[in-house]
Amino acid sequence: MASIVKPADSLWKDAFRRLLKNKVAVAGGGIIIVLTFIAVFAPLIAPYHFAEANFEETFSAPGGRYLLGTDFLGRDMLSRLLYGTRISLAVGTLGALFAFTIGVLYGTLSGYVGGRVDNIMMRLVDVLYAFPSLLFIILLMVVFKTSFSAGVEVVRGPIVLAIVALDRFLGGMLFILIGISLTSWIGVARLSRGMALSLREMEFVQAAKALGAGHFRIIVRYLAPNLVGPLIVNITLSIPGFIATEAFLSFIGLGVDPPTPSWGAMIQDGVRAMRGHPHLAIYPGIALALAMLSFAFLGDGLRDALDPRLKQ
Amino acid sequence: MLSFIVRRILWLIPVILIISMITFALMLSVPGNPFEGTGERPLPPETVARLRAHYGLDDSIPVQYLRYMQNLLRGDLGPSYASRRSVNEMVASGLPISATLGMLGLVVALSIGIPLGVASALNQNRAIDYFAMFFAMAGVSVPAMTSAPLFIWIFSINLGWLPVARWGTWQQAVMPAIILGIGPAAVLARLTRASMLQVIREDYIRTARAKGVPERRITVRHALKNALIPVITVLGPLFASMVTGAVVVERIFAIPGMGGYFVGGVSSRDYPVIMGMVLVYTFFLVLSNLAVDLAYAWVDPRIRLE
Repeated sequence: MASIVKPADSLWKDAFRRLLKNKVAVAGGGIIIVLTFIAVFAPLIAPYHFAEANFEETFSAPGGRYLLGTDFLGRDMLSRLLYGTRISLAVGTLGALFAFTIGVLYGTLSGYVGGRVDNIMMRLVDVLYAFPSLLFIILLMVVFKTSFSAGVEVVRGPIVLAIVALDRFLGGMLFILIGISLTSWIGVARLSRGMALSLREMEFVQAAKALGAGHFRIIVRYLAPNLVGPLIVNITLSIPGFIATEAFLSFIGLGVDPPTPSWGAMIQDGVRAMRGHPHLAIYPGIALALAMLSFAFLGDGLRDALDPRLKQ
Repeated sequence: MLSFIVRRILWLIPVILIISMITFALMLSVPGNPFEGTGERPLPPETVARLRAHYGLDDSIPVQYLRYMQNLLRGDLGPSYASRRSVNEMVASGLPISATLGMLGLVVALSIGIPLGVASALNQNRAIDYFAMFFAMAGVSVPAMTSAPLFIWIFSINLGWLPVARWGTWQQAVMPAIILGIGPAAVLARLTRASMLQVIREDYIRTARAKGVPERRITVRHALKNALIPVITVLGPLFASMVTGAVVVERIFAIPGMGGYFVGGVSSRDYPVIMGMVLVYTFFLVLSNLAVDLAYAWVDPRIRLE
């Protein structure tokens, strides 16, 4: 006998199916996959090395030997754009990962323990939250950049040297990541504390408690599955902000070390030659917006897909 | 209401105090001193010693902090290490320009964002709605770093309608204000739409309609008035995001505001300038948050009871 009831899909299968129906989100996801591919294989795709300068052909127009032209040092724009994907994606995703790991641990701990500990932990967050995070990160970057690059001779220790070496190897990205992690966990902590508090009071958690479920079972079976969805959505939606922060820091000269290509630094270089060669600022700007838009569209689609109330 | 205001104002004191301490500690944790590692040519040691003595850098850290705070209470932000001008002079010349730019940006944001959100909510799932929400999504994700060069290329270089840069005439303010306002406008549009959609389903709207109140009056007097309450709460964070947007806009359009001094101070590691600018920015952000909280309590009597 044929059953009228459709077999129930799992939450994730169902969400994935609904995500695929959202064309904008799929386009965003597709662009992210392409950008990731570019970031990983940049040395193979790029026609030139990002630092290769050709002083004979500075500011050359797009077309010819250099598909998108060259910058003020005669470096190939296309190659620098392709390599720039690395910094943006790495800072965006890793920054989000670090910020959320710290923030979620802090927030849920505070919300779960409650009482005086919660009060003290949250007052600290309140004060830090009042400190505009971008000013905070600028201050941290000033300190990192000066004390670790100029101060290496003053405090010469194996750990300091290793950190500086790693940062140089990553083109200045390590300190950007540390700065982002240290400043953006604060908002996440507030968010996840709120989620933990409201979940704790939910009827199904009360019911599980009444049926004799232990702490571990409640956290793993009831709390975690309800937190994972919103967290994935929030992480995805926070990535454009981290990409923008990196671009901003590099734009004002506190981000990557030259000649590492970052879209923000390229825009800063391009703006200086805006009158004669506007494409030098416009191309990296478009790349930056494209990356940010893709994550925003994907995150928006994920939010709709993971919201069971929107199920038809 | 009065105790609410007093409590909120008193909360500002520890916030500003702690932020000033963090900033001061961060600035001092940099090894070396501002006169050693800055230039290509190192200064002779006697000169450095005299400079250090002049700026009081040989005193202990608590003494330096107390002296800074003492001067701050008198409204003195101290001297700049790299420039002849004092930090006060920089703030005095840059702040009015940045504030004007910020106000213009806010006007753009409010006058685009709120009407768009209302139009979108009243035409839910129709073409206007889809267009408005696409604009909102793009507006949030396209940073000033992208839109400013594009705008300059289109409107100044190709069409020749507006000047490329500088500050002074109204034509020079058009592009910076629009670029600064678009992102916040997008945020406001999304929020107004969501809030409006919730409000127009309320019973009192149906009552008003049943009583024969004209549709226009329902939208403006009954729905929008209540829908704007949650919108007010985001104005604080929105203002904060505009401050950073303004740094980029000021730099690209060569506008002599606070942002230029701040970035200049950052690149020459001019600590008193950095410290002063951070404190001034923070002061205004905290103040705007306070204004938003008070406005919120004023329009929504339920908040005051807490």
